[in-house]
Amino acid sequence: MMISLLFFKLIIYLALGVVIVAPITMAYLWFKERQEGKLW
Amino acid sequence: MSEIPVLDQGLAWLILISFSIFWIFLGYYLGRKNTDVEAYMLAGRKVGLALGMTTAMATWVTSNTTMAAPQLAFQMGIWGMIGYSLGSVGLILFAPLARRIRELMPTGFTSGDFIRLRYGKTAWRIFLGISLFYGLGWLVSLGMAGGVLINTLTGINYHVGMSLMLLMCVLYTMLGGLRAVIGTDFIQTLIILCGLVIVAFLVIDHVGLDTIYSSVKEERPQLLNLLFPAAIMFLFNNLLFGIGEIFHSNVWWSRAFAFREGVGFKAYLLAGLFWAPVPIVAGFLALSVPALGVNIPLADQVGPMVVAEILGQAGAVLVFIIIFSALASSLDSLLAALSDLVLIDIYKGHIKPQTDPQTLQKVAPWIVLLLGIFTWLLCLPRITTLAELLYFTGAFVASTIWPITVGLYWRNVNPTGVSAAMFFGTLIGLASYFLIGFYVAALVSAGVSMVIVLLSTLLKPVTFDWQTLNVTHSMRA
Repeated sequence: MMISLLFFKLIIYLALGVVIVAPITMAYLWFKERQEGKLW
Repeated sequence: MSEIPVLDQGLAWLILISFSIFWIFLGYYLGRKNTDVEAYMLAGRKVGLALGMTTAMATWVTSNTTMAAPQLAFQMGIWGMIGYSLGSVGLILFAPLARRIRELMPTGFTSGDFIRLRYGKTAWRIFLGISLFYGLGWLVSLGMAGGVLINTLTGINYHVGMSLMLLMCVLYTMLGGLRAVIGTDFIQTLIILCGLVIVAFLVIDHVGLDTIYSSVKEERPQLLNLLFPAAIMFLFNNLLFGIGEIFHSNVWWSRAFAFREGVGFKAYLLAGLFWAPVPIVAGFLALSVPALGVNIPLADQVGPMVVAEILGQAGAVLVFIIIFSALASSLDSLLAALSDLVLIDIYKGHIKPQTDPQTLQKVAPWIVLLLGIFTWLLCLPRITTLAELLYFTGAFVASTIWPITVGLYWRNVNPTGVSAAMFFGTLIGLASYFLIGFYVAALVSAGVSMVIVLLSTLLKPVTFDWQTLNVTHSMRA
């Protein structure tokens, strides 16, 4: 049973999307916690 | 041995030296606020979500994630990438455990503390044997991977690259403790993720997903097969191995202790969710090999070779920085966590029980240094079969999954049963490693351990008072 082109693209783009969101979330949380004095 | 260096040596030296100076300076800078041993070992127990999530993620993104994921995609196709990404399940499952650990042991220091207080000294010593063997194995494998990767990518001598990598991580961990590790992890994670996104987009732009898919379908169709048996087997073994690695290791426990109250659950959950796609993004690059027609002499170099083929020197620089950051982010965490285990469970626990917190604070950096020197000595002979050693440790770590999990939630677990579960789980797991194959070691070990823990608890339950866990050490200066 072979994976379809559509499913193949879906997996790659979904993974890529999450990898793009990750550093944005991290940077946002960093600035937010820094302002609140909760970084560490 | 260096086959075809993909990066110019002069450029490689420039990157190595400038990054090393930066990390060491940052380690020194962040370590200035360490006033007591608790601050040095656990960053003052106030780490927030941003730094908590990134340090968990950075530690789990090793050189393996960035190098072995393309190799697995190249050899096992779509299941290779997805199987690798299931390593994130361990992080996600540890999220509720991290919350529970923080609640039960607000003054805890190491995973050894938990086993000692929960199950007694016999179980503690068996656990320490497992944990130190695994931790040292992982540390040595990372040190060697550093030397091998620097050598493969740049042609710089293995011993020089390995020594530089270790020296840099030892210095900044010594100077700044866990604060330095967490601070550098944050920047290293951003570098890795942004670098991966850039590389992935450039590969998609140059080759295209349609071309990649059609070339693989034509030349190596098994890579797109959803019923690839070897790959499916790998997937399950990797899942259990990952859970065992995370549940028992002080790397993850020390972070659970270091995170501010209420942060542990969210930090591990987000780290797991954000980590899961990384092996897929790093891995799919290897599927472009048939479309590019690149000759790959060694499967473990497929990632850097594809990127260098498409993007030239700029791509090679990017890959080198990503891999260098991935290596450093795991090496430093392991150095810190393992030295904590040596300091608290061996030095204070076995050699000098009456040591005061001030002395421990003075001893702590020296243990990091000694551990670094010991690792360096073990890394000197270049063993190329180290990946097998890591699978070998699967039998050890999987035997601790049940003792840790039920110990955190069930009141009536039998401590003698737990000692037997770790001992026989490891022993029978090792036997199956040699008699059947590497892919069953973790599975058998976890299975045996589960049966012993459940049976002993059912037949002879021993009631435990959770308050016992709240009394660990008083370390404040």
